[in-house]
Amino acid sequence: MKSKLSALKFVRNNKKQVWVMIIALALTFMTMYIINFLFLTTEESFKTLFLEQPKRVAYLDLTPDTMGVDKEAYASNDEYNSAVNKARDKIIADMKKHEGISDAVLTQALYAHYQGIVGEVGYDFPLLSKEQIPEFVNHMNAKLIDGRMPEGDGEILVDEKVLKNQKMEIGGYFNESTFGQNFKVVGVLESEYMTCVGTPMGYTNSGWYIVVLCDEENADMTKLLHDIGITPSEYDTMYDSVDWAKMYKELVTDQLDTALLAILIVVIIFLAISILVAYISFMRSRVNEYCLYTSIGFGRKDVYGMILREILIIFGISIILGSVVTVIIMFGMGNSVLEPMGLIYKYFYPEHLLRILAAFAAIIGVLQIPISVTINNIKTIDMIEE
Amino acid sequence: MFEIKNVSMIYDMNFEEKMYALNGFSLTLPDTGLVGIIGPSGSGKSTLMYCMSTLKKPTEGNITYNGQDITSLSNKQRETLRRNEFGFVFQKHYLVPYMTAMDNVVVAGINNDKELRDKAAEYLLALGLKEREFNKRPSKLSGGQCQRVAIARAMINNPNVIFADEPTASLDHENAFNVMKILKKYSEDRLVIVVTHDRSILKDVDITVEMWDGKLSNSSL
Repeated sequence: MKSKLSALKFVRNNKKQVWVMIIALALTFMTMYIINFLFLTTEESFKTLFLEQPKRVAYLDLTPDTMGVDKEAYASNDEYNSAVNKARDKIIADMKKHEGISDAVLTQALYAHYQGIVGEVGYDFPLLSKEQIPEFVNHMNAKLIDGRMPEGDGEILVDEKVLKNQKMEIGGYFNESTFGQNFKVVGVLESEYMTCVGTPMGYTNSGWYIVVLCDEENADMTKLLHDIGITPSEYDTMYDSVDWAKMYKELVTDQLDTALLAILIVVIIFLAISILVAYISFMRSRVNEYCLYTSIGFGRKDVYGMILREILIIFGISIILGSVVTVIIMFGMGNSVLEPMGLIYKYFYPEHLLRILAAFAAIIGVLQIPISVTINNIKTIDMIEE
Repeated sequence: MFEIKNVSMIYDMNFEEKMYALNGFSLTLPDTGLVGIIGPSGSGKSTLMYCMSTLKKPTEGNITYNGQDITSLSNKQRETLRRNEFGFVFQKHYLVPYMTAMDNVVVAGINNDKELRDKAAEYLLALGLKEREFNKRPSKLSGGQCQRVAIARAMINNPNVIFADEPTASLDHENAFNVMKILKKYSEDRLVIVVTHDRSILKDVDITVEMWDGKLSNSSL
């Protein structure tokens, strides 16, 4: 015995109304996921620089106090500078002996930019002697895929993503707006850490650092310094895995997540209001239909079940359609926008997809209000005809 | 089949001067036959039909259907009874505007879809609709055609009782008599109760019940 009122009849026979709603919901789904995708592409791209690269290389600039050199104890600047250099050399030597540290070297650094969809990040990379560069390239698991290794002064190897991102090319000048025509791009690296490295050209204003080539377990420089008997202070500059991870959380994930949540809430509020208004109008136009059903022997539960199934079908189709459109658009954007920008991206973010689905579920929840009101007000035809 | 005892239906219960739609009405109807309930507007004939079909609960009295007091049933039991035992033709056709004629008949069905469609087609053809009209929506059908679809909908579950409130109101004479002929045939082994104020369509009825002011004024029983 048939016990249900068919929900498909309304869906099949009201294509115009239903498709307007399906398309509106599908577009909302798509918009929300694409916004997530673009924001998270920034997060994903920056993750390499903030979280991955610092697991292989750290930059330290320690104060003389930290290195145990007291200026007052020296009669001249030369003596003082000599003591500082000596102390630094000792620290470098101690670091090199430490397990997990493949090398440490005092060198100049240069500054590279990397542009995300939202925001930009800058990071240091070392300027080494041409003899030291292969070791650094090897340590960073990088591979020269185009051009040549630096041979003279002011020659830079650039990661292929950074190269694309900053619209540079072999033979062109590296970061010309900042460094003028001092540094030339001579080779391209393929590297999972967005590695850049080069040879110095006089002095740059990016400063000198102890560049520490470390492994993941020994990437915390505070701990490393403690291990070799040095207690760092707040006046020391340490760009290590702990520092970058903190910055990543504060400057990238927290801000992007807050922005994404705010956008999701605003979109959902507007969507919920629109769907609510549209659905109230749908149901008003169907009051006689509901009355007929209860008059000929269907219960209010049957009518409610039918309405709920209609909504689930509409939302289900919307999500499927929205997903298909979203995937097509993401592939298009990936190939035509993100790839040429040298950004790192992935398509599937289950946590954010669930968040959007939860928002849709919340809208279905909100729709229960007008549905319940309508169901409670269903009359039988005798009451209408009186 | 139906035994109606001292049934009263009072509107405006809170007012001092009560309005009786039915006033101590009693009647017994057999299991089969075509019953015509006639009376002027406001005589209580529609109210009687609604009480018998469980759409309304009388204020006083009892209505027994097949030995069961239907005035004391729960809402759920009344729904089940309406769905399994009764068929309805209302004054207005109450067809679902977005459904085809065929779907409007099938929507009331309690059996599986294929069986229902065959039966619906049979009834629609018998009621004078052409096959090409089966897929038309109510807005593309005449008032008479809509009413015939509503009659087919009432018959689709082979109910033991059909309640028809002014079933021929929107039909021309020829169609009205055709409809009555179909209802008459249906009443050979089931009960059909037709409420009308048009005496001309009642010439073939088995029982005529005349009402006046909520009371039985005359009966051919």
